[in-house]
Amino acid sequence: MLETVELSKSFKGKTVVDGVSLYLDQGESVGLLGPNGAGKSTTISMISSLLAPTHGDVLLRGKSVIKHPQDIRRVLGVVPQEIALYEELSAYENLQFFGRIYKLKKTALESKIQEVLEIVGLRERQKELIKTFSGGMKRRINIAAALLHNPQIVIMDEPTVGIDPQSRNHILDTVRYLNLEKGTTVLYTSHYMEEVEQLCKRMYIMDHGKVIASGTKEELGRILSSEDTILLQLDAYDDAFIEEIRSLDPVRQVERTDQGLKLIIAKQSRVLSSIVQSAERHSVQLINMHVHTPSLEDVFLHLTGRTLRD
Amino acid sequence: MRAFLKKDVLVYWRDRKQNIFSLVIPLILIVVLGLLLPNWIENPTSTLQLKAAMVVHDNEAAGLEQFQSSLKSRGLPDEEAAVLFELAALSPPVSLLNDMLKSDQIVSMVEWVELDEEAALRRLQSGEIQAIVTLPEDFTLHILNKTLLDEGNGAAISLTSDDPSIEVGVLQGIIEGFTQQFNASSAIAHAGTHSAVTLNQEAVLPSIGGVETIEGVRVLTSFQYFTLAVGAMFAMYVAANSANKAITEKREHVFQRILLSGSHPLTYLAGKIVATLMMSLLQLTLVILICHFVLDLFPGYSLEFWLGFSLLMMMMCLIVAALGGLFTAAMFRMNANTANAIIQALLLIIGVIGGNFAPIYILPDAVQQLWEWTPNGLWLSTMIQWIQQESWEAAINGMLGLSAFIIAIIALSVWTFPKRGRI
Ligand SMILES: Nc1ncnc2c1ncn2[C@@H]1O[C@H](COP(=O)(O)OP(=O)(O)O)[C@@H](O)[C@H]1O
Ligand SMILES: [Mg+2]
Repeated sequence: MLETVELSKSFKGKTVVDGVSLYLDQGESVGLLGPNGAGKSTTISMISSLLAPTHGDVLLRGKSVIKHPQDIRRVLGVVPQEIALYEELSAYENLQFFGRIYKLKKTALESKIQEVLEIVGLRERQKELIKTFSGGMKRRINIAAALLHNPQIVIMDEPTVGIDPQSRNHILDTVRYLNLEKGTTVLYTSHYMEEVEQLCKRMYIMDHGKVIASGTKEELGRILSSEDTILLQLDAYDDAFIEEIRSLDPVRQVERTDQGLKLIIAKQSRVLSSIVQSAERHSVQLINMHVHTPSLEDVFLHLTGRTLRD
Repeated sequence: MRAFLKKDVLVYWRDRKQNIFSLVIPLILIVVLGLLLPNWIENPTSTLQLKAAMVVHDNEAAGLEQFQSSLKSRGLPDEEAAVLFELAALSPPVSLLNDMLKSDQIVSMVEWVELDEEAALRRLQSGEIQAIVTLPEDFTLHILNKTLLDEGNGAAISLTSDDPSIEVGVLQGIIEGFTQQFNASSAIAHAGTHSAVTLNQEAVLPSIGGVETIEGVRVLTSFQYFTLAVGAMFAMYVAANSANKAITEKREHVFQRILLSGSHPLTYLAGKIVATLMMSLLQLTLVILICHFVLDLFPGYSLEFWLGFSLLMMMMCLIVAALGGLFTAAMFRMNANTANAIIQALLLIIGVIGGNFAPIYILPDAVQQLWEWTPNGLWLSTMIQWIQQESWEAAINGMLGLSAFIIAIIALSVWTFPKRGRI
């Protein structure tokens, strides 16, 4: 339905988005994950035809958006990262304005406004000024404003940054509702791994302007499939014990932690019994042992050497 | 467009602090400036150039002689008669008037030509000169009789002109001022010997037949001046305020959302311009109406006056609206802080040159030359002329100039505003 081809953007010679190719199929919910400054918002601006790419193209059903920006603007709803609302106007007045510039007819607009207010759960407070709203409520109206014209594709740029858990849950529910009940295609941008894990079947991970990995959660997990992590909680161990563990064949890496050791081992190796035996030989008391399978957070750490929230 | 207009007006309306500011501050300024600088501007002289003829039918020496003999025939005590004659000889009215009218200050404004009456009238009709000042026969004698002896009706200095221009009005003011001053100083000098005399002002400037004599160009009061000047200045700040609201729209990406809706960016700009027009109309009208009722600015002016006045008010607000568009476009074209600094500087400069902060007459000549080259200065000058003369010709000329400004500013803002739908 929508795809980007080798999309790149430079500001004054500094490349901010670098050869990003991604696609959205009809009805899909796709995540775009990356730390701050990765280039997510810039990519979204190019997709929504607000920013001209330095290279590459955006295609809507095979047709270039760069050349025909009106086409995508009609079917696209963008929830910007910033609260793009008039603080001095009420929620209702904001929605009325944004609906009218989409040329919705008066009665259709009225029922649509009530519908989107219902979706984001702020119908009772529509008469209040935006500036009196909490951050979370503003974000919800920010979303509602992007839904007035029944967009087939909704792009949300970090819609849950810095808000209370209640609003956050509401927003996540809204995304699920749009995607599952209304069949809206969703591109959901975030730097919260767990949101993307919950909401999206498929995701792209961006860093420094590039897509560094993509696929379903399982596919991404498999990037780390050749290794497992074992956390050992130990009492009174010495260097000799560490040396012996290190010499075990499947063990690739040994690190000291606060409470013991962290081992990186080859996947599916039968190393646990050897570890237990070594501990007995050195009279080291093994308090706890935990085998850790990789999360997306680890995938990111593995790929970039940084955590998402650095 | 209506959606844009409605939201802009609503956003303005809700900005209570700004609204109170742009209403209360000008009112305070007008009152303070009006009281501090009373009537500074009632004789706005130095920018004006006028050619005028002085026609003297009076013979000063003969007048003095006659006065002297009339003193004798009156049978006054010799001593008193001598004092009175000395007084008369010391300050014969024609010489005083001559000194006054030919003083450096006046000559910088009025170029005098010496002509006899016939030649003067001919030149007046052909437009070579704009006014004739006529001293009638026996002027000296009658004035002396009136001022020193309180006898007779005095004499009239006639000002003849078929050109109801601001310059002639100024000349009239000068002559009036002179006769009052002359009269006052005579009266003071005379106080010891005789009762004080006042010269009847109406007797000084009667009309004479033939060429039309202007009835009187109204004098502009400083309250009127400052109401217009300060009101217009704060109306221009409405334009800056519009642009400031646009920064928010740019920074908070509301504008991007507007673009995403597929609305033409110029619709947004048009909404801004019309909203600015409405807000400035409201603001300027309120300021002027409040001043009018509190300070009794335009007592008893005609309906026709108010019609022209309203048209000119509309012109000022159109200027403000156009500026609002231009400033908004500037906000989108450059960094908001830079744009704001430029806007503030520009308003300050055209405010000073346009006479919005201080009467234009006290500014250096170089600045005065530029006066009518600023939209606000042209407006102020047109408005002052309207108040003084109610001449539709001058008003329409001014409005044409103002329209040119409005069109140019709007064209510039449309040209500057990002139109491609990408920013
Ligand atoms: N208009 C711009 N001019 C210069 N640099 C920009 C501009 N917009 C974004 N950037 C830079 O591009 C990088 C990516 O920004 P952004 O797309 O907002 O990242 P993200 O949304 O992933 O946090 C940042 O380093 C930012 O400073
Ligand atoms: Mg971003």
